[in-house]
Amino acid sequence: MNSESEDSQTLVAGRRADRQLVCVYLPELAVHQAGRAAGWPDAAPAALWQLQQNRQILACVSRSAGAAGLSVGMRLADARALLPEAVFAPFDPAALAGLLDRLARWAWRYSPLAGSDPAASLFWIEAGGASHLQGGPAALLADLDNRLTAAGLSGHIAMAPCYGAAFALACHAARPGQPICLSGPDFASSSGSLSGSLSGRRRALIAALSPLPVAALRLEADILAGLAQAGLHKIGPLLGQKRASLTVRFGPQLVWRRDQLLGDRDERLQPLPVEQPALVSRSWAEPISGPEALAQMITDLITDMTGLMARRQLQCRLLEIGWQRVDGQCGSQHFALSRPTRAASLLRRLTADLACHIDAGFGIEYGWARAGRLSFGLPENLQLDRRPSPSSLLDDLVDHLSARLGSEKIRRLQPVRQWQPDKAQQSLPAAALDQPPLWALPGPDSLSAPRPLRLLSPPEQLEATALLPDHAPRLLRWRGQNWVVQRASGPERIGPPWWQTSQPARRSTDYYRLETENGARLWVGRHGLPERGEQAEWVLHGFFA
Amino acid sequence: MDRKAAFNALKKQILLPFDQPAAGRMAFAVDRLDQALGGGLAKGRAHLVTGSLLDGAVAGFLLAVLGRLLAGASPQAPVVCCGSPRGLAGQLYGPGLAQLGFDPARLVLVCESHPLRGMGAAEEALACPGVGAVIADYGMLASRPDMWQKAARRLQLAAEQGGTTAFVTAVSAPAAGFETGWQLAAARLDGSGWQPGWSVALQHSRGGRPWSGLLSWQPHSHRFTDIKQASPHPLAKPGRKARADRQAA
Repeated sequence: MNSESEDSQTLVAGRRADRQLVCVYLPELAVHQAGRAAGWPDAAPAALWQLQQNRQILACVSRSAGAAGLSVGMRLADARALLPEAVFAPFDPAALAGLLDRLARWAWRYSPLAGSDPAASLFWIEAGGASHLQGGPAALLADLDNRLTAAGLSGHIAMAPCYGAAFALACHAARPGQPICLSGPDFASSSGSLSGSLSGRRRALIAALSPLPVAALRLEADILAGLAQAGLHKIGPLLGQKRASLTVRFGPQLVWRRDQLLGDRDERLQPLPVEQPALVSRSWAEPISGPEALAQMITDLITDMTGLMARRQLQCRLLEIGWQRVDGQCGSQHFALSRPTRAASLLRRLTADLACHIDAGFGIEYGWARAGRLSFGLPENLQLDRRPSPSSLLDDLVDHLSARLGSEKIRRLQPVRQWQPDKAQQSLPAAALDQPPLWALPGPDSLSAPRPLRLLSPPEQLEATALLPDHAPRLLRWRGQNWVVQRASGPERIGPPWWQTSQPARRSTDYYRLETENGARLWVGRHGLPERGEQAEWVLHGFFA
Repeated sequence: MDRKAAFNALKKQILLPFDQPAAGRMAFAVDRLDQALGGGLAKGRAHLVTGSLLDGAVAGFLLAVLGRLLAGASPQAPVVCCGSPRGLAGQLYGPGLAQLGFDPARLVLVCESHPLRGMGAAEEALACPGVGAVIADYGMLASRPDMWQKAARRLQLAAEQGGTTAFVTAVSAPAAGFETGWQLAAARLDGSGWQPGWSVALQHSRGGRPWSGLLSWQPHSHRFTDIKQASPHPLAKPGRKARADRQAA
């Protein structure tokens, strides 16, 4: 590395010297969350596990469990043997990501730029230009730490001029209650003889990062293994290596990460989007009433709203029309949409009946429309193919029926990979489905076992008489009807879910396809296996075509 | 002789429109049934299908008709099924539908137990473009003849306007006001294996004539077979067939 490139790097770093990135690492957050949801005692040792390559591996460990010897990456069976009194539960990454997003949103109190990294269980705040509102970086960190402690969370907090350094310090150096501050004017004035100068800051940063393990560099597992093989365990020795030799040996990622650690290479962070409410309103000098005037109000509001969404290139999946009466009472109506839209014609059709249902009282003086669940949408003139696609027609139909009857009543069938006949399909509200359900259609020569056209769920009790205990029935009696069975095929044995066999009521079922004398084709099951000496119980489960 | 030839020519002339499936009609490819229907099942009309709840005949027959009806339509054209969520005869079962070659993803279920609201939803669905067919299971309305007449008429009008075919299912209901009225029953068909088949009676057909017979159905090729036309099974007992015919009658 020659002196010229050293200078240019210092300059690049210098341009970002006023950045103040705060990383808050919350290693026990997932355990806290699961514990609060399930009501575990606070101090109880607890751990969460997840499946990794079909092995149950601990993913998050509480402090007391950590003190007792459990660690992340340990097998669940080993952990159970080591600490039988601990509580174990499966790890829910989606719930953790949601909580971190909420925490990042809470951190908008410090700065409008905040985001989360669920994989590392941390959230970050870009406090540059905003920390003086809290009384400086140190005061901000102290306030953040106090508030997290008050909420029962132990956060490892670090502030640095770049994300890589803040990440490394928070995850590997900071302790709860002792935030690390390597940024801002306080740090500049307190660091050594070269106080305030760029190289002085950089030197202090290097000094703070050098003793950290190389795992703080966010590298892939094989690079970490290679570094361990080469004897490079700490960041300090790595900083002295030449980039060419590192790239040759470990690939480009290591050099990128090293540059990002000191802020020499830019890193794109994704802050949480700040949603601007899409709201339009109208008020009238004289209160309005009557269906025509109200219909005009709704049309005007929708025209304003679609204009607003077109200007901001947005589309909505939820529309709220609200109104305020002269006596101060407010009312509103929500319309959910299956797909994002800002088509005024569709919104008008959805709200066509609304005017008749508004109770205007002595008149309405204020009305508003609000769009929710917004997403980005191209302006119409950029969409070349304007023909409505079949799926969009279906969405319109679902929206229309949902607006009329309620979205819970419009349903579609979704396949479920379960061999239990009851559970092989799921009826879901059509508005909740993002994609059309995908069914496997067996061909005419498929050897799949027959399934009925109509399923009785739950199955109905049936009186049956069979010649032998393990034979198909000959006589059936159901709802006062007698059937003589003429033909039978089967049985098809469907076992209970094996993971629930502890319940004694769960038994295997033998299913027969029967044809009665008058031609009805039935799907009849026998709960309980006669060869095991179980009491047989016949049920009617469905009808074939 | 002259008189007979003239009579035959006249007969042919009368039957001529029935020989080819007219536009806007779905032919069953069963000659006598298509003749009775005047060329096939009219599309864009409302049809009544009655039958017992305690077998799969009505659902199976509708599925078979839909299979033919939607053969040329878009594979995503939805089929809207309006009915009570808790029916006596259970619910449509996706894996069973898929085995008969009908994609359950096409189904849009409207679970509305109030018959008037349900019929309203069916009308709404008929007015939407791109819908393949609409099925309404509100036979309970038939106990109120005035409402039944009105609902049938409204549905028929909506189907005509939207060009979408509607089916109303019931246990038993008067077919006045509908384009056709069908009575379905399960039937034993000798020698057809487990292939679906029913005893079908076309009781009312506007501009056509009644018909009854046994139909069997090949699910994946969407083909109906008139059992009386097919060569009789060599081992079929005559008694059983006569019994099936009696039932159909």
